[in-house]
Formats: sequence, C-alpha cells, structure tokens
Amino acid sequence: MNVLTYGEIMDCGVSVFSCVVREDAGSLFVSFTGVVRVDNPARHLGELLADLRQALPARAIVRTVIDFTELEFCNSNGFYIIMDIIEMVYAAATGPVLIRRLEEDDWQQETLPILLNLDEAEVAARTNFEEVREI
Amino acid sequence: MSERGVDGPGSSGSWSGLSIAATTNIGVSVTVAPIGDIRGNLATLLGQTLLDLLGMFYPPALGKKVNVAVTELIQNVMANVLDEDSALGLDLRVDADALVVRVRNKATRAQFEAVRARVDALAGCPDPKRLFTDTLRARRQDGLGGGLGLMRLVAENRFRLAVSYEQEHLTMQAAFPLLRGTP
Repeated sequence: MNVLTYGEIMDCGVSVFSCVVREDAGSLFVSFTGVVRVDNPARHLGELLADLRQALPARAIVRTVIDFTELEFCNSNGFYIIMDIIEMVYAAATGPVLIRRLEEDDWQQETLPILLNLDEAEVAARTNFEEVREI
Repeated sequence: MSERGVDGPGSSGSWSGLSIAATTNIGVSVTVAPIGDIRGNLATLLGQTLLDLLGMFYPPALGKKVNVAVTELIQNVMANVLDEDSALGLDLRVDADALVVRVRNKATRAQFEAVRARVDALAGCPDPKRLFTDTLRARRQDGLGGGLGLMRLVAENRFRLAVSYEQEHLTMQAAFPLLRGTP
C-alpha cells in the first residue's frame, strides 16, 4: 500500500492530529486520528491539501474508505478542513465511499453527514456507513 | 437577572435524553482568577480532563457532550475577555435528571445582549439543524472560521441553552436531560 500523503497538526511540540491517505490497487484509504482543537487547522494542513490536489486526479480510484473512528474531537474550525479533504476525495474518485464512524458520537452521527454533503443525491448514492462501537 | 433559553432538537424534533445506567452524581467547580493569567489552552485542558473524569462513571457519549460544551463555551469566553483581572467560573453537575454545564465571566450588558440575540435566534428557529447546516456552508463560502459554537451545542449535541446576566457577569448554561436506569 502506498502512502500518497500525510498531514499533521502539532500543538506545543506534540502531534495531536494526523491524516493519512493511502492507495492500493484502485482503493483509497483516508484516516483521521487525534484531535482538532487549534484555531487554524488549514495553516497546518495546507501541504496535505496541495498534495491531494496534485496526486488524486492521476489515480484510478474505484473504491474509497474514509475512517473517522480514531478522530476523538473536532472543533468547529476543523469542520472546514474536513470538508476540503472530503470534497477532493469524492471529486477525484469514482465508485462507492465507505465511511467508518463511531456509533455513539454526536459529531460523527449528526454533523459529519452535513460535512459530507449527504443531502446531495449523487453523494448520498455513493456513500455507505459502517457504524463502529467504542469499547 | 435576565434569562433566555432554547431547547435542542432530538431525533424526533423534541428534546430527547440520554439513557444511562450509572447512578453516580458528580459536581465539579473550577474558578480561575485573574483570567489574564491563563496562558495555555484552558478550554482544551478542562474539556479533556472532564472527559477523562466522566469516563470513569458514564458511557463515552456523556463525557463527549461535556467535552464539546466546555470547549466551545470556554473558547467563547477567552475570545471575548473584557477584564483581564476578572474571574472565569466553570460548574459541571451530573445527577439523576441532567448534566448541566455553566460558564460564568464578566461581560458588558452589550455583550450579554449579543449572546442573548444568538440564543433567541436559535430558540425561534424551527429547524436548528438546518440553520446549523446553512450557517456552516455560508461561513465556509465566505472564508470565515468558527462562529458555530452555540449552534453546534443545540443542533449537534442537543443541549438546552440558557443565558443570564447578573452583577456584570454573564452565565451561559448548557443542559441535557438524563434518563437513569434504562441503559
């Protein structure tokens, strides 16, 4: 599996959030880990967005998995960067998108569908959810 | 004292509670003064600390709600400090009926009126989630960050909000009903 790009947010010298984008034989895997609490996450993840903008169109992606189950917290400033990443992935890939999310998490159950633009029929038709229960 | 309140929508459009089996009652009060001494991210520190504390007694969903409320409300205070010599107060209560988060800080009457207007706008909105969605997209379109905290607490976390003003201090309250004994 190839790592296409990787981005992280450092806070007080410690990595608090990371996004890893991997690709393998037409499948794309995007994972979010940690917490988004900084005021301007776009400043930390600009390079990730630039990499995605360049790398994704050249790939023939037919299946995508986006994993939010390790994303512990996201402030409202983080919504926009998540939307930027999601939009790029949906635009560059064809085929179904599986969203892995936590079953008991208000953000992932209530707000994430808004960030996904799930009220757009084309997005909704491609999107499936895997509900993951925290242990 | 002046006060305004607004209910969060449940999945059926009414204010719904969280069913939990735990019977533990918890109360936590934190006061920091002067507020100008705060150097790090107090919102993060308190939100994470309370998440960890509640995780000892309750399902993760409850601690997550408190984490979001404490983080958003304290971030609002820190973004609008009026007097660096004043105090910031946080109260958390979890009992058989509800979880309640209150954040108190010094504010002008004008600041209170501005917050009250936002709470009133949410109270008068028949579909807070639609308002949240439209506001989020509009702010993104305009290149604006944040500005969604109170809306998020109602539309996402289904908190009931209330704001009051007394003796030059604004108290913002976020409450959520609990249903004990039916996990």
